[in-house]
Amino acid sequence: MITDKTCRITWRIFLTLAILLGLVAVPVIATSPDSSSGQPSPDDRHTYGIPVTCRDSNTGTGIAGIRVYLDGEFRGVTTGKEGRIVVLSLPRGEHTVRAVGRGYRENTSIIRIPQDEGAYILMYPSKIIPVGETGAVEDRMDVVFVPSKTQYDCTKKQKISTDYYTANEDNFRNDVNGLIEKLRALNSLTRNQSCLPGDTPDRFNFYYYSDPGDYADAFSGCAGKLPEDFWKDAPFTDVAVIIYPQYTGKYTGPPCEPNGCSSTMGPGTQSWFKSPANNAPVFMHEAGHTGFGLMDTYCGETYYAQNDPRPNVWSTQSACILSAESNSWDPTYCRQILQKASNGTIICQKEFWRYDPDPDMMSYSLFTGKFGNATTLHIHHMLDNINRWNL
Amino acid sequence: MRRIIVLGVILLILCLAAGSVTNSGNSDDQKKVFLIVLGIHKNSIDLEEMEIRYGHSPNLGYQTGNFTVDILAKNGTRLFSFDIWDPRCHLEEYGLHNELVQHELMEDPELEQKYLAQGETNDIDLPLIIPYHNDIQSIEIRENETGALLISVNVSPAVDAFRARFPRDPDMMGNNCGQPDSLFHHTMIAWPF
Repeated sequence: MITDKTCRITWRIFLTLAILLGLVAVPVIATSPDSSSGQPSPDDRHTYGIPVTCRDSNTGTGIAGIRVYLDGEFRGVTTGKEGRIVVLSLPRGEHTVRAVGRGYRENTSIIRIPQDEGAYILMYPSKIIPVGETGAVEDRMDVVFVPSKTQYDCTKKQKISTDYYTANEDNFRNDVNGLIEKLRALNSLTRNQSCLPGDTPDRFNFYYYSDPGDYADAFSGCAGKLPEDFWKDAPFTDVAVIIYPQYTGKYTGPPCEPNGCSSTMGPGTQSWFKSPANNAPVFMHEAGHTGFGLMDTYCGETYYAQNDPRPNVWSTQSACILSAESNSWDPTYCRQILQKASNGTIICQKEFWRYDPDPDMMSYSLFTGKFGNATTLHIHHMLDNINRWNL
Repeated sequence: MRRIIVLGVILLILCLAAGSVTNSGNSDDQKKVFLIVLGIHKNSIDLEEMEIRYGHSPNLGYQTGNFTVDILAKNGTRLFSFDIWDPRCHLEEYGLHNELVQHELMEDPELEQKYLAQGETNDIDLPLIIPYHNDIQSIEIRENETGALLISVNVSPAVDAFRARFPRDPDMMGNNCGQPDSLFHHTMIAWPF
């Protein structure tokens, strides 16, 4: 039986808990003491509740489901068409309100209590657009395609501005989809097509970068220049790819070759490459460098090192033979990286050895090249170990 | 009176439920990285920008390169180490239209593929993105060939700045880091090329 006394006690407990939880806007003791006396001043004793409203920057309408963090702590989700949540228990002073939602760039706003009556956060569309199904960033290789605002005019022999991508994002998306299909079909480019994991296509996350105010410049420097804020917008990027439309004008030989250029050897820190959109072999060769850390196997003024573990280039012949034997490959394929002229004289020779037979994707023969045993083993290793490190 | 009690109990349960929600959120939202922008010059390397941002880091540890990055803990032990590529060097290839043209070009050394060492003339930025971890105190970069220390970056200023903005971030709570070195936030070391 519930007595009046029980009711009073229950009601007091409820009120106490409600106040402590900040559901009722009544004064509570603030934690920050008055700086002069060491005692809380009357004003500091209050906490406040203020509304936070998240609106779409394009439509101005409220957004439901935006997660709101106050000073780094989760405070709830905006609900309904108003995109509104009331954040309670705010003491006086400055606070950081951070809003995070799918499809939007996160945004933060500073509010001052008690001067500000509310926080209005405009949510801008995300610059990073996923392509197809994506998995956890930590589980896959994250590849971000970036459109170039420049291309190359073969008649003028100079770079020119182009609006092929900037005026029509569909053109960019179509080219991106074409290149993604090549990467998903990586297994078909290996000599032994059962060597890569069966779920290789699912080892990647693909995205494209969309910022109407900032595009890449494929012809600024060797590997091109990414948009100014690219690494802040997409810090998780394992490999960025600047793609540019095919060359225009009349082909008269170099420098009008469709060329690619890699910024690094391997994914991760500041890894990107440029590639013409219509040249899959160049794309795959550069992906070999930047995505999988594969060495060039042609003889030229390029970079060589034994890219352990499971290298495709060795610094000694004996190391190459040892690798071949341990993998049950024919060791007679181990050969020095060199190039002969048509009269048989050696015009280029390096103190490095290679295994994969020609036509080799990492050699000159891009158009007919395949990934041989050594390169395939290295790719397999990269796919199995991407993001598998721990601090 | 009973109605009031029932209503009160319901509200109480809702309050407690709300209270439990306020401590969760999406853990993915609270992943953080150190974004450290280094300026690489002909004879030196220096710190240009450093901050902690919300976000994920890229893959680390699968680059071949000339530099080694050591991530050091507060007690000085090495938490993680990985190689990075010298950002001044780019690898360029031409996609030739057919093998015949390619072989003709190969005999002209002027047209060989080039390994571009831009460092001779260019200053270049290297944005280093490292996952946030409570125990990270400093980040060192060494030259692989000589083992020479090129730069040591104390991350305390970035942690303090982040904590000032997001004091209730779970990683910032109850983690009373030592005061940053007031004299040197990073140490620049001459880099002889």
